[in-house]
Amino acid sequence: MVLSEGSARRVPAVSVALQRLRLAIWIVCLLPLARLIWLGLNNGLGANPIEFISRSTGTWTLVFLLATLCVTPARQLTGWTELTRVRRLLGLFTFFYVCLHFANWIVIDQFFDWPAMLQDIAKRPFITVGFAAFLLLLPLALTSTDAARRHLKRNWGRLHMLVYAVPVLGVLHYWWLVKKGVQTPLPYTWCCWGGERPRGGGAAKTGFGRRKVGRAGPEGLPPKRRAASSGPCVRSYSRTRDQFSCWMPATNQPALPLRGLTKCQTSSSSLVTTLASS
Amino acid sequence: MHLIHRPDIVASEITPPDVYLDRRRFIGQAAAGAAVLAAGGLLDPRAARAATAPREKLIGVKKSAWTVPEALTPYQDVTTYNNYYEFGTDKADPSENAHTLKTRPWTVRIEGECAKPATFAIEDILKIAPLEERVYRMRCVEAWSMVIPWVGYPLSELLKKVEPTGSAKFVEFSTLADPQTMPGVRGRVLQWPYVEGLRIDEAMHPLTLLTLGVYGEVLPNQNGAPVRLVVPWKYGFKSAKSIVRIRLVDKMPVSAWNRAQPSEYGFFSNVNPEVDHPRWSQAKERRIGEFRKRDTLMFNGYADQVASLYSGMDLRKWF
Repeated sequence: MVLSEGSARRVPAVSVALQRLRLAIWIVCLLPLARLIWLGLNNGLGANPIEFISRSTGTWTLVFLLATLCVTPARQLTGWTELTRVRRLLGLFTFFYVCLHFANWIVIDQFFDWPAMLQDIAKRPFITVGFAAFLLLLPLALTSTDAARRHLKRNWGRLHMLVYAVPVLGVLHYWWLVKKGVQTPLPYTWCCWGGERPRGGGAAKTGFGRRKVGRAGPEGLPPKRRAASSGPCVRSYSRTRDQFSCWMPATNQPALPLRGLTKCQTSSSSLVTTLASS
Repeated sequence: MHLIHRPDIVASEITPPDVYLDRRRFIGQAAAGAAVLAAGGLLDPRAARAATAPREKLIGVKKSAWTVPEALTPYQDVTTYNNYYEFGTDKADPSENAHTLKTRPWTVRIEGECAKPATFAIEDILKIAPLEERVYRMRCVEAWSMVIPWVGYPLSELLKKVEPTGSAKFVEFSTLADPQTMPGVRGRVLQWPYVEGLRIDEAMHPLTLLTLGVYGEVLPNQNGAPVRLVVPWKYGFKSAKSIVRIRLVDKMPVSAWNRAQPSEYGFFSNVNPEVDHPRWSQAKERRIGEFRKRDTLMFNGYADQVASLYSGMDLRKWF
Protein backbone atom coordinates (compact mmCIF):
# COMPACT_ATOMS: atom_id res chain seq x y z
CA MET A 1 0.00 0.00 0.00
CA VAL A 2 1.34 3.41 -0.91
CA LEU A 3 0.78 5.98 1.74
CA SER A 4 0.09 9.53 0.77
CA GLU A 5 2.49 12.09 2.09
CA GLY A 6 -0.03 13.38 4.60
CA SER A 7 -0.73 10.04 6.21
CA ALA A 8 2.93 9.11 6.08
CA ARG A 9 3.65 12.09 8.27
CA ARG A 10 1.04 11.10 10.81
CA VAL A 11 1.93 7.43 11.04
CA PRO A 12 5.56 6.94 11.91
CA ALA A 13 7.58 4.50 9.88
CA VAL A 14 7.26 0.88 10.90
CA SER A 15 10.34 -1.13 11.83
CA VAL A 16 11.32 -4.22 9.88
CA ALA A 17 10.71 -6.36 12.95
CA LEU A 18 7.17 -5.07 13.25
CA GLN A 19 6.54 -5.60 9.55
CA ARG A 20 7.62 -9.21 9.95
CA LEU A 21 5.44 -9.62 13.02
CA ARG A 22 2.46 -8.26 11.12
CA LEU A 23 3.08 -10.65 8.26
CA ALA A 24 3.35 -13.53 10.74
CA ILE A 25 0.05 -12.47 12.34
CA TRP A 26 -1.65 -12.39 8.94
CA ILE A 27 -0.44 -15.90 8.19
CA VAL A 28 -1.23 -17.34 11.61
CA CYS A 29 -4.66 -15.73 11.72
CA LEU A 30 -5.64 -17.04 8.31
CA LEU A 31 -4.47 -20.60 9.02
CA PRO A 32 -7.59 -21.68 10.97
CA LEU A 33 -9.79 -20.59 8.09
CA ALA A 34 -7.53 -22.29 5.57
CA ARG A 35 -7.69 -25.45 7.66
CA LEU A 36 -11.47 -25.37 7.77
CA ILE A 37 -11.65 -24.97 4.01
CA TRP A 38 -9.13 -27.77 3.50
CA LEU A 39 -11.08 -30.07 5.83
CA GLY A 40 -14.34 -29.11 4.19
CA LEU A 41 -13.01 -30.03 0.75
CA ASN A 42 -11.54 -33.29 2.00
CA ASN A 43 -14.49 -34.64 3.98
CA GLY A 44 -12.57 -34.06 7.18
CA LEU A 45 -15.12 -32.17 9.27
CA GLY A 46 -16.38 -35.33 10.97
CA ALA A 47 -19.90 -36.62 11.46
CA ASN A 48 -21.32 -33.23 12.43
CA PRO A 49 -19.59 -30.66 10.20
CA ILE A 50 -21.85 -27.77 11.21
CA GLU A 51 -21.00 -28.24 14.86
CA PHE A 52 -17.33 -28.57 13.91
CA ILE A 53 -17.35 -25.24 12.06
CA SER A 54 -19.21 -23.60 14.90
CA ARG A 55 -16.82 -24.88 17.56
CA SER A 56 -13.77 -24.12 15.47
CA THR A 57 -14.66 -20.53 14.59
CA GLY A 58 -15.83 -19.91 18.15
CA THR A 59 -12.59 -21.26 19.58
CA TRP A 60 -10.44 -19.15 17.28
CA THR A 61 -12.48 -16.07 18.09
CA LEU A 62 -11.65 -16.60 21.75
CA VAL A 63 -7.99 -17.27 20.99
CA PHE A 64 -7.54 -14.11 18.93
CA LEU A 65 -9.55 -12.06 21.39
CA LEU A 66 -7.30 -13.15 24.23
CA ALA A 67 -4.23 -12.59 22.03
CA THR A 68 -5.48 -9.05 21.43
CA LEU A 69 -5.76 -8.46 25.15
CA CYS A 70 -2.30 -9.89 25.69
CA VAL A 71 -0.63 -7.23 23.54
CA THR A 72 -0.27 -4.72 26.34
CA PRO A 73 1.11 -7.17 28.93
CA ALA A 74 3.51 -8.43 26.24
CA ARG A 75 4.61 -4.89 25.51
CA GLN A 76 5.18 -4.24 29.19
CA LEU A 77 7.15 -7.45 29.58
CA THR A 78 9.33 -6.93 26.53
CA GLY A 79 9.52 -3.17 26.61
CA TRP A 80 8.87 -3.19 22.86
CA THR A 81 6.51 -0.22 22.66
CA GLU A 82 5.84 -0.66 18.97
CA LEU A 83 4.05 -3.91 19.76
CA THR A 84 0.88 -1.94 20.44
CA ARG A 85 0.58 -1.38 16.73
CA VAL A 86 -0.44 -4.99 16.02
CA ARG A 87 -3.44 -4.71 18.31
CA ARG A 88 -5.87 -3.43 15.73
CA LEU A 89 -4.87 -6.21 13.36
CA LEU A 90 -5.49 -8.86 16.03
CA GLY A 91 -8.72 -7.17 17.08
CA LEU A 92 -10.02 -7.14 13.55
CA PHE A 93 -9.12 -10.80 13.04
CA THR A 94 -11.11 -11.52 16.20
CA PHE A 95 -14.03 -9.73 14.62
CA PHE A 96 -13.49 -11.65 11.38
CA TYR A 97 -13.76 -15.00 13.18
CA VAL A 98 -16.76 -13.94 15.27
CA CYS A 99 -18.46 -12.95 12.00
CA LEU A 100 -17.75 -16.42 10.57
CA HIS A 101 -19.07 -17.95 13.79
CA PHE A 102 -22.22 -15.83 13.65
CA ALA A 103 -22.74 -16.37 9.93
CA ASN A 104 -22.36 -20.13 10.40
CA TRP A 105 -25.13 -19.98 12.99
CA ILE A 106 -27.47 -17.90 10.85
CA VAL A 107 -26.87 -19.52 7.47
CA ILE A 108 -25.75 -23.10 8.00
CA ASP A 109 -27.02 -24.01 11.45
CA GLN A 110 -30.40 -22.25 11.56
CA PHE A 111 -30.81 -21.64 7.82
CA PHE A 112 -32.40 -18.19 8.22
CA ASP A 113 -35.04 -19.45 10.64
CA TRP A 114 -35.47 -15.95 12.10
CA PRO A 115 -38.25 -16.72 14.62
CA ALA A 116 -36.24 -19.64 16.03
CA MET A 117 -33.10 -17.50 16.23
CA LEU A 118 -34.84 -14.60 17.98
CA GLN A 119 -36.40 -17.03 20.42
CA ASP A 120 -33.00 -18.59 21.10
CA ILE A 121 -31.44 -15.18 21.75
CA ALA A 122 -34.18 -14.36 24.22
CA LYS A 123 -34.52 -17.76 25.89
CA ARG A 124 -31.15 -19.48 25.81
CA PRO A 125 -28.65 -17.87 28.15
CA PHE A 126 -25.63 -19.17 26.25
CA ILE A 127 -26.92 -17.67 23.02
CA THR A 128 -27.90 -14.47 24.83
CA VAL A 129 -24.38 -13.90 26.11
CA GLY A 130 -22.82 -14.92 22.82
CA PHE A 131 -25.00 -12.47 20.97
CA ALA A 132 -24.27 -9.76 23.55
CA ALA A 133 -20.55 -10.33 23.02
CA PHE A 134 -21.00 -9.98 19.27
CA LEU A 135 -22.98 -6.75 19.73
CA LEU A 136 -20.21 -5.36 21.91
CA LEU A 137 -17.56 -6.15 19.31
CA LEU A 138 -19.52 -4.52 16.53
CA PRO A 139 -18.98 -0.84 17.47
CA LEU A 140 -15.33 -1.57 18.24
CA ALA A 141 -14.74 -2.93 14.76
CA LEU A 142 -16.71 -0.13 13.14
CA THR A 143 -14.69 2.55 14.93
CA SER A 144 -11.34 0.88 14.40
CA THR A 145 -10.23 3.28 11.67
CA ASP A 146 -7.87 6.17 12.30
CA ALA A 147 -10.57 8.58 11.14
CA ALA A 148 -13.10 7.28 13.66
CA ARG A 149 -10.54 7.52 16.37
CA ARG A 150 -9.76 11.13 15.54
CA HIS A 151 -13.43 11.94 15.27
CA LEU A 152 -14.41 10.38 18.61
CA LYS A 153 -11.46 11.89 20.49
CA ARG A 154 -11.55 10.86 24.16
CA ASN A 155 -14.81 8.99 23.76
CA TRP A 156 -13.02 6.53 21.52
CA GLY A 157 -11.05 5.25 24.48
CA ARG A 158 -14.17 5.05 26.60
CA LEU A 159 -16.01 3.16 23.91
CA HIS A 160 -13.18 0.72 23.50
CA MET A 161 -13.25 -0.16 27.18
CA LEU A 162 -16.11 -2.43 26.07
CA VAL A 163 -13.55 -4.95 24.92
CA TYR A 164 -13.06 -6.05 28.51
CA ALA A 165 -16.58 -7.40 28.76
CA VAL A 166 -16.22 -9.51 25.64
CA PRO A 167 -13.93 -12.31 26.82
CA VAL A 168 -16.01 -12.69 29.97
CA LEU A 169 -19.14 -13.10 27.90
CA GLY A 170 -17.29 -15.32 25.44
CA VAL A 171 -16.04 -17.68 28.11
CA LEU A 172 -19.45 -17.75 29.78
CA HIS A 173 -21.01 -18.52 26.39
CA TYR A 174 -18.67 -21.51 26.15
CA TRP A 175 -19.32 -22.85 29.66
CA TRP A 176 -23.07 -22.68 29.27
CA LEU A 177 -22.91 -24.47 25.97
CA VAL A 178 -21.06 -27.59 27.07
CA LYS A 179 -22.50 -30.44 29.10
CA LYS A 180 -21.54 -30.81 32.70
CA GLY A 181 -18.08 -32.20 33.25
CA VAL A 182 -16.70 -31.00 29.94
CA GLN A 183 -13.67 -28.89 30.78
CA THR A 184 -12.76 -27.53 27.34
CA PRO A 185 -13.54 -23.89 28.27
CA LEU A 186 -11.13 -24.04 31.21
CA PRO A 187 -7.93 -22.84 29.46
CA TYR A 188 -9.80 -19.83 28.08
CA THR A 189 -11.12 -19.04 31.52
CA TRP A 190 -7.57 -19.02 32.85
CA CYS A 191 -6.34 -16.86 29.98
CA CYS A 192 -9.27 -14.52 30.50
CA TRP A 193 -8.36 -14.29 34.16
CA GLY A 194 -4.72 -13.68 33.32
CA GLY A 195 -5.38 -11.29 30.47
CA GLU A 196 -7.76 -9.08 32.41
CA ARG A 197 -5.80 -8.69 35.60
CA PRO A 198 -5.17 -5.09 36.59
CA ARG A 199 -2.33 -3.52 34.75
CA GLY A 200 -1.12 -0.26 33.38
CA GLY A 201 -2.88 2.03 30.98
CA GLY A 202 -6.47 3.04 30.60
CA ALA A 203 -8.51 3.05 27.48
CA ALA A 204 -5.46 2.70 25.30
CA LYS A 205 -5.22 -1.01 26.00
CA THR A 206 -8.17 -1.95 23.88
CA GLY A 207 -7.61 -4.04 20.86
CA PHE A 208 -9.16 -2.06 18.12
CA GLY A 209 -7.01 0.96 17.60
CA ARG A 210 -3.46 1.96 16.97
CA ARG A 211 -1.67 4.20 19.39
CA LYS A 212 0.40 6.86 17.87
CA VAL A 213 3.92 6.82 19.11
CA GLY A 214 4.96 9.86 21.05
CA ARG A 215 1.48 11.04 21.83
CA ALA A 216 0.57 11.89 25.35
CA GLY A 217 -1.65 9.29 26.92
CA PRO A 218 -1.75 6.65 29.57
CA GLU A 219 0.90 4.61 27.80
CA GLY A 220 3.27 7.50 27.94
CA LEU A 221 2.91 7.76 31.69
CA PRO A 222 5.86 6.97 33.88
CA PRO A 223 5.83 3.37 35.16
CA LYS A 224 4.71 4.23 38.69
CA ARG A 225 1.52 5.94 37.66
CA ARG A 226 0.91 3.35 35.04
CA ALA A 227 0.90 0.65 37.68
CA ALA A 228 -1.42 2.63 39.86
CA SER A 229 -4.16 2.98 37.30
CA SER A 230 -5.74 -0.22 36.22
CA GLY A 231 -8.46 -1.65 34.07
CA PRO A 232 -11.46 -3.67 35.11
CA CYS A 233 -10.68 -7.03 36.49
CA VAL A 234 -12.47 -10.28 36.13
CA ARG A 235 -11.30 -12.67 38.71
CA SER A 236 -12.91 -16.06 38.42
CA TYR A 237 -16.03 -17.95 37.64
CA SER A 238 -17.13 -20.75 39.89
CA ARG A 239 -19.26 -23.28 38.12
CA THR A 240 -20.24 -25.02 41.29
CA ARG A 241 -21.73 -21.84 42.67
CA ASP A 242 -22.79 -20.44 39.31
CA GLN A 243 -21.06 -17.30 40.35
CA PHE A 244 -18.20 -15.22 39.23
CA SER A 245 -16.55 -12.34 40.86
CA CYS A 246 -15.33 -9.30 39.08
CA TRP A 247 -14.33 -5.94 40.30
CA MET A 248 -13.35 -2.61 38.92
CA PRO A 249 -10.76 -0.94 41.08
CA ALA A 250 -11.64 2.67 41.73
CA THR A 251 -8.80 4.55 40.14
CA ASN A 252 -7.89 7.84 38.62
CA GLN A 253 -9.39 6.82 35.31
CA PRO A 254 -11.76 9.03 33.40
CA ALA A 255 -15.38 8.63 34.34
CA LEU A 256 -16.73 5.39 32.95
CA PRO A 257 -20.20 3.99 32.90
CA LEU A 258 -18.99 1.04 34.97
CA ARG A 259 -17.12 3.09 37.49
CA GLY A 260 -19.67 2.65 40.23
CA LEU A 261 -18.87 -1.03 40.29
CA THR A 262 -15.97 -0.97 42.64
CA LYS A 263 -16.62 -4.52 43.53
CA CYS A 264 -19.41 -6.73 42.55
CA GLN A 265 -19.99 -10.31 43.29
CA THR A 266 -22.91 -11.39 41.33
CA SER A 267 -24.64 -14.49 40.22
CA SER A 268 -23.85 -14.93 36.57
CA SER A 269 -27.49 -15.12 35.58
CA SER A 270 -28.28 -11.75 37.09
CA LEU A 271 -25.23 -10.31 35.34
CA VAL A 272 -26.55 -11.56 32.07
CA THR A 273 -29.94 -10.05 32.74
CA THR A 274 -28.27 -6.74 33.44
CA LEU A 275 -26.19 -6.92 30.30
CA ALA A 276 -29.07 -8.03 28.15
CA SER A 277 -31.31 -5.24 29.30
CA SER A 278 -28.72 -2.51 29.12
CA MET B 1 19.91 -68.59 15.95
CA HIS B 2 16.25 -67.81 15.82
CA LEU B 3 14.12 -70.74 14.81
CA ILE B 4 11.11 -68.58 14.16
CA HIS B 5 11.61 -65.69 11.82
CA ARG B 6 9.54 -62.68 12.81
CA PRO B 7 8.56 -60.69 9.74
CA ASP B 8 9.89 -57.16 9.72
CA ILE B 9 6.64 -55.80 8.43
CA VAL B 10 3.34 -56.74 9.99
CA ALA B 11 0.62 -57.70 7.56
CA SER B 12 -1.52 -54.71 8.37
CA GLU B 13 1.23 -52.36 7.25
CA ILE B 14 1.66 -53.87 3.80
CA THR B 15 0.17 -51.60 1.16
CA PRO B 16 -2.62 -53.44 -0.64
CA PRO B 17 -2.01 -53.99 -4.39
CA ASP B 18 -5.00 -51.93 -5.49
CA VAL B 19 -3.47 -48.97 -3.72
CA TYR B 20 0.13 -49.27 -4.87
CA LEU B 21 -0.87 -50.10 -8.42
CA ASP B 22 -2.80 -46.86 -8.58
CA ARG B 23 0.40 -44.85 -8.56
CA ARG B 24 -0.97 -41.36 -8.89
CA ARG B 25 -3.51 -41.75 -6.14
CA PHE B 26 -0.90 -43.44 -4.00
CA ILE B 27 1.46 -40.48 -4.33
CA GLY B 28 -1.35 -38.11 -3.55
CA GLN B 29 -2.34 -40.06 -0.49
CA ALA B 30 1.25 -40.33 0.66
CA ALA B 31 1.66 -36.58 0.36
CA ALA B 32 -1.60 -36.01 2.18
CA GLY B 33 -0.52 -38.52 4.82
CA ALA B 34 2.74 -36.66 5.33
CA ALA B 35 0.86 -33.40 5.64
CA VAL B 36 -1.45 -34.98 8.20
CA LEU B 37 1.48 -36.25 10.22
CA ALA B 38 3.24 -32.92 9.93
CA ALA B 39 0.24 -31.07 11.21
CA GLY B 40 -0.11 -33.48 14.10
CA GLY B 41 -3.52 -34.61 12.99
CA LEU B 42 -4.81 -31.04 12.90
CA LEU B 43 -5.57 -31.19 9.24
CA ASP B 44 -7.60 -34.37 9.25
CA PRO B 45 -8.93 -35.28 12.66
CA ARG B 46 -10.57 -38.42 11.40
CA ALA B 47 -7.66 -39.89 9.45
CA ALA B 48 -5.33 -39.37 12.38
CA ARG B 49 -7.42 -41.52 14.63
CA ALA B 50 -8.42 -44.26 12.22
CA ALA B 51 -9.63 -47.08 14.45
CA THR B 52 -8.27 -50.39 13.24
CA ALA B 53 -10.03 -52.80 15.56
CA PRO B 54 -10.96 -56.07 13.86
CA ARG B 55 -14.61 -56.31 12.83
CA GLU B 56 -16.48 -59.50 13.58
CA LYS B 57 -19.69 -60.52 11.85
CA LEU B 58 -22.61 -61.81 13.92
CA ILE B 59 -24.21 -64.94 12.46
CA GLY B 60 -27.86 -65.89 12.27
CA VAL B 61 -29.22 -62.35 12.48
CA LYS B 62 -32.81 -61.98 11.28
CA LYS B 63 -34.33 -58.80 9.94
CA SER B 64 -36.98 -57.41 12.25
CA ALA B 65 -40.23 -55.62 11.54
CA TRP B 66 -38.99 -52.85 13.84
CA THR B 67 -37.29 -50.93 11.08
CA VAL B 68 -37.79 -47.25 10.37
CA PRO B 69 -37.87 -46.48 6.64
CA GLU B 70 -35.13 -43.85 6.86
CA ALA B 71 -31.61 -43.66 5.46
CA LEU B 72 -29.02 -45.32 7.70
CA THR B 73 -26.34 -43.15 9.29
CA PRO B 74 -23.02 -44.36 7.82
CA TYR B 75 -20.99 -46.87 9.86
CA GLN B 76 -18.11 -44.40 10.00
CA ASP B 77 -20.26 -41.76 11.73
CA VAL B 78 -21.97 -44.26 14.05
CA THR B 79 -18.58 -45.46 15.27
CA THR B 80 -16.61 -42.20 15.49
CA TYR B 81 -19.15 -39.72 16.86
CA ASN B 82 -19.94 -41.05 20.31
CA ASN B 83 -20.73 -39.95 23.80
CA TYR B 84 -19.04 -42.41 26.12
CA TYR B 85 -17.56 -40.32 28.92
CA GLU B 86 -15.62 -43.21 30.43
CA PHE B 87 -13.32 -42.78 27.42
CA GLY B 88 -13.36 -38.98 27.28
CA THR B 89 -15.84 -36.18 26.74
CA ASP B 90 -15.03 -35.36 23.12
CA LYS B 91 -17.13 -37.13 20.50
CA ALA B 92 -13.98 -38.56 18.95
CA ASP B 93 -12.44 -39.73 22.24
CA PRO B 94 -14.29 -43.08 22.52
CA SER B 95 -13.20 -44.29 19.08
CA GLU B 96 -9.63 -43.29 19.88
CA ASN B 97 -9.44 -44.62 23.43
CA ALA B 98 -11.85 -47.54 23.72
CA HIS B 99 -9.45 -50.08 22.22
CA THR B 100 -8.27 -50.71 25.79
CA LEU B 101 -11.66 -52.09 26.84
CA LYS B 102 -11.54 -55.87 27.42
CA THR B 103 -14.85 -57.44 26.46
CA ARG B 104 -13.86 -61.07 27.20
CA PRO B 105 -14.34 -62.54 29.75
CA TRP B 106 -17.50 -60.58 30.55
CA THR B 107 -20.38 -61.35 32.87
CA VAL B 108 -23.62 -59.61 33.71
CA ARG B 109 -24.96 -60.08 37.22
CA ILE B 110 -28.75 -59.88 37.58
CA GLU B 111 -30.04 -59.64 41.12
CA GLY B 112 -32.50 -57.93 43.44
CA GLU B 113 -36.25 -58.47 43.42
CA CYS B 114 -36.27 -61.74 41.49
CA ALA B 115 -36.70 -65.44 42.16
CA LYS B 116 -33.54 -66.63 40.40
CA PRO B 117 -30.70 -64.12 40.60
CA ALA B 118 -27.88 -65.21 38.31
CA THR B 119 -24.63 -64.26 36.66
CA PHE B 120 -24.62 -64.66 32.89
CA ALA B 121 -21.51 -65.01 30.77
CA ILE B 122 -21.58 -62.93 27.61
CA GLU B 123 -21.40 -66.15 25.52
CA ASP B 124 -24.66 -67.28 27.11
CA ILE B 125 -26.32 -63.90 26.75
CA LEU B 126 -25.68 -64.13 23.01
CA LYS B 127 -27.74 -67.35 22.89
CA ILE B 128 -30.74 -66.51 25.09
CA ALA B 129 -32.92 -65.38 22.19
CA PRO B 130 -32.51 -65.16 18.41
CA LEU B 131 -30.60 -62.06 17.31
CA GLU B 132 -32.55 -59.62 15.20
CA GLU B 133 -31.60 -56.47 13.36
CA ARG B 134 -33.67 -53.40 14.23
CA VAL B 135 -33.26 -50.04 12.57
CA TYR B 136 -33.98 -47.46 15.26
CA ARG B 137 -33.80 -43.70 15.42
CA MET B 138 -31.33 -42.50 18.04
CA ARG B 139 -31.95 -39.02 19.41
CA CYS B 140 -29.24 -37.51 21.58
CA VAL B 141 -30.18 -34.99 24.27
CA GLU B 142 -27.72 -32.66 22.52
CA ALA B 143 -30.20 -32.30 19.62
CA TRP B 144 -28.59 -34.52 17.01
CA SER B 145 -29.82 -37.86 15.78
CA MET B 146 -28.88 -40.96 13.82
CA VAL B 147 -30.57 -43.99 12.29
CA ILE B 148 -28.77 -47.13 13.41
CA PRO B 149 -29.20 -50.84 12.58
CA TRP B 150 -28.73 -52.44 15.99
CA VAL B 151 -28.52 -56.19 16.57
CA GLY B 152 -29.96 -57.76 19.70
CA TYR B 153 -33.17 -59.03 21.26
CA PRO B 154 -35.73 -57.63 23.70
CA LEU B 155 -34.37 -57.05 27.20
CA SER B 156 -37.49 -58.80 28.53
CA GLU B 157 -36.10 -62.13 27.24
CA LEU B 158 -33.14 -61.79 29.59
CA LEU B 159 -35.14 -60.45 32.54
CA LYS B 160 -37.65 -63.31 32.32
CA LYS B 161 -34.79 -65.74 33.02
CA VAL B 162 -34.45 -64.43 36.58
CA GLU B 163 -38.21 -64.28 37.22
CA PRO B 164 -38.79 -60.76 38.59
CA THR B 165 -41.09 -60.66 41.63
CA GLY B 166 -44.06 -58.38 42.14
CA SER B 167 -41.99 -55.85 44.06
CA ALA B 168 -39.63 -55.30 41.10
CA LYS B 169 -40.89 -51.85 40.10
CA PHE B 170 -37.72 -50.51 38.52
CA VAL B 171 -34.59 -51.83 36.85
CA GLU B 172 -31.17 -50.34 37.56
CA PHE B 173 -28.29 -50.80 35.12
CA SER B 174 -24.68 -50.39 36.23
CA THR B 175 -21.92 -50.20 33.69
CA LEU B 176 -18.22 -50.94 33.80
CA ALA B 177 -16.02 -48.39 35.57
CA ASP B 178 -12.44 -49.56 35.27
CA PRO B 179 -9.86 -46.82 35.84
CA GLN B 180 -7.17 -49.08 34.34
CA THR B 181 -8.76 -49.18 30.91
CA MET B 182 -11.06 -46.15 30.97
CA PRO B 183 -9.23 -42.81 31.12
CA GLY B 184 -12.45 -40.87 31.78
CA VAL B 185 -13.13 -42.82 34.98
CA ARG B 186 -9.94 -41.38 36.48
CA GLY B 187 -11.58 -37.95 36.25
CA ARG B 188 -14.68 -36.76 38.06
CA VAL B 189 -16.87 -35.84 35.15
CA LEU B 190 -19.69 -37.96 36.53
CA GLN B 191 -20.01 -40.20 39.54
CA TRP B 192 -18.83 -43.64 38.46
CA PRO B 193 -20.01 -46.22 37.73
CA TYR B 194 -22.50 -44.85 35.24
CA VAL B 195 -25.95 -45.89 36.39
CA GLU B 196 -29.17 -45.81 34.43
CA GLY B 197 -32.67 -46.95 35.19
CA LEU B 198 -36.01 -47.84 33.67
CA ARG B 199 -39.44 -48.49 35.10
CA ILE B 200 -40.21 -52.22 34.91
CA ASP B 201 -42.86 -51.75 32.20
CA GLU B 202 -40.37 -49.74 30.13
CA ALA B 203 -37.75 -52.44 30.61
CA MET B 204 -40.20 -55.18 29.57
CA HIS B 205 -41.44 -53.23 26.54
CA PRO B 206 -40.79 -55.07 23.26
CA LEU B 207 -38.95 -52.02 21.84
CA THR B 208 -36.33 -52.04 24.61
CA LEU B 209 -33.42 -53.84 23.04
CA LEU B 210 -30.58 -55.68 24.72
CA THR B 211 -27.99 -54.85 22.11
CA LEU B 212 -24.99 -56.93 21.13
CA GLY B 213 -24.16 -55.66 17.68
CA VAL B 214 -24.50 -52.94 15.08
CA TYR B 215 -24.41 -53.11 11.28
CA GLY B 216 -24.54 -56.93 11.51
CA GLU B 217 -21.29 -57.03 13.48
CA VAL B 218 -20.19 -57.33 17.08
CA LEU B 219 -20.49 -53.94 18.83
CA PRO B 220 -17.32 -51.85 18.53
CA ASN B 221 -15.98 -50.93 21.97
CA GLN B 222 -16.84 -47.25 21.57
CA ASN B 223 -20.50 -48.16 21.01
CA GLY B 224 -20.77 -49.95 24.34
CA ALA B 225 -19.40 -53.45 23.78
CA PRO B 226 -20.05 -56.18 24.61
CA VAL B 227 -23.65 -55.57 25.72
CA ARG B 228 -25.67 -52.40 25.99
CA LEU B 229 -29.19 -51.13 26.13
CA VAL B 230 -31.07 -49.31 23.38
CA VAL B 231 -34.27 -47.54 24.38
CA PRO B 232 -35.25 -45.75 21.18
CA TRP B 233 -37.94 -43.41 22.55
CA LYS B 234 -35.63 -41.94 25.19
CA TYR B 235 -32.61 -39.65 24.85
CA GLY B 236 -29.45 -41.55 24.03
CA PHE B 237 -27.86 -41.32 27.46
CA LYS B 238 -30.59 -43.63 28.84
CA SER B 239 -29.17 -46.45 26.74
CA ALA B 240 -26.41 -47.60 29.08
CA LYS B 241 -23.26 -49.07 27.55
CA SER B 242 -21.03 -51.99 28.62
CA ILE B 243 -23.46 -53.26 31.26
CA VAL B 244 -22.06 -55.38 34.11
CA ARG B 245 -24.95 -55.46 36.58
CA ILE B 246 -28.74 -55.29 36.45
CA ARG B 247 -30.73 -54.88 39.65
CA LEU B 248 -34.46 -55.25 40.00
CA VAL B 249 -35.50 -52.76 42.67
CA ASP B 250 -38.63 -51.38 44.28
CA LYS B 251 -37.53 -47.71 44.31
CA MET B 252 -36.74 -45.38 41.45
CA PRO B 253 -32.96 -45.57 40.87
CA VAL B 254 -30.90 -42.38 40.73
CA SER B 255 -29.26 -42.27 37.31
CA ALA B 256 -25.80 -40.78 36.76
CA TRP B 257 -27.01 -37.72 34.85
CA ASN B 258 -29.91 -37.18 37.22
CA ARG B 259 -27.47 -37.17 40.12
CA ALA B 260 -25.09 -34.81 38.33
CA GLN B 261 -27.65 -32.25 37.14
CA PRO B 262 -31.16 -32.94 38.43
CA SER B 263 -32.56 -29.75 36.90
CA GLU B 264 -31.48 -30.79 33.41
CA TYR B 265 -31.84 -34.58 33.33
CA GLY B 266 -34.84 -36.33 34.82
CA PHE B 267 -35.40 -40.04 35.34
CA PHE B 268 -37.65 -40.59 32.34
CA SER B 269 -35.85 -38.50 29.72
CA ASN B 270 -38.36 -39.38 27.03
CA VAL B 271 -37.74 -37.63 23.72
CA ASN B 272 -40.21 -34.76 23.81
CA PRO B 273 -40.10 -31.78 21.42
CA GLU B 274 -42.35 -29.80 23.75
CA VAL B 275 -40.19 -29.99 26.85
CA ASP B 276 -36.94 -28.12 26.33
CA HIS B 277 -33.63 -28.79 27.95
CA PRO B 278 -33.11 -25.78 30.28
CA ARG B 279 -30.28 -24.54 28.07
CA TRP B 280 -31.48 -25.42 24.58
CA SER B 281 -34.58 -26.29 22.59
CA GLN B 282 -35.53 -29.90 21.91
CA ALA B 283 -38.04 -29.02 19.18
CA LYS B 284 -35.64 -29.78 16.35
CA GLU B 285 -32.68 -32.01 15.75
CA ARG B 286 -29.86 -32.34 13.29
CA ARG B 287 -29.81 -35.76 11.67
CA ILE B 288 -26.14 -36.57 11.18
CA GLY B 289 -25.42 -36.25 7.47
CA GLU B 290 -28.25 -33.81 6.78
CA PHE B 291 -28.02 -30.08 6.22
CA ARG B 292 -31.37 -28.75 7.41
CA LYS B 293 -32.67 -29.43 10.89
CA ARG B 294 -35.71 -31.67 11.15
CA ASP B 295 -38.55 -31.62 13.64
CA THR B 296 -38.12 -33.89 16.64
CA LEU B 297 -40.98 -36.35 16.96
CA MET B 298 -42.86 -37.12 20.16
CA PHE B 299 -41.25 -40.16 21.79
CA ASN B 300 -38.79 -40.02 18.89
CA GLY B 301 -41.52 -41.27 16.54
CA TYR B 302 -42.46 -44.25 18.74
CA ALA B 303 -45.56 -42.63 20.28
CA ASP B 304 -47.90 -45.32 18.90
CA GLN B 305 -45.95 -47.97 20.76
CA VAL B 306 -45.08 -46.24 24.04
CA ALA B 307 -47.37 -43.25 24.69
CA SER B 308 -49.76 -45.48 26.64
CA LEU B 309 -47.00 -46.14 29.21
CA TYR B 310 -47.28 -42.52 30.29
CA SER B 311 -50.99 -41.84 30.01
CA GLY B 312 -52.13 -39.48 32.73
CA MET B 313 -48.59 -38.35 33.54
CA ASP B 314 -47.54 -34.71 33.33
CA LEU B 315 -44.52 -35.04 31.05
CA ARG B 316 -43.29 -31.56 31.95
CA LYS B 317 -42.99 -32.64 35.54
CA TRP B 318 -41.72 -36.15 34.77
CA PHE B 319 -39.17 -35.05 32.17
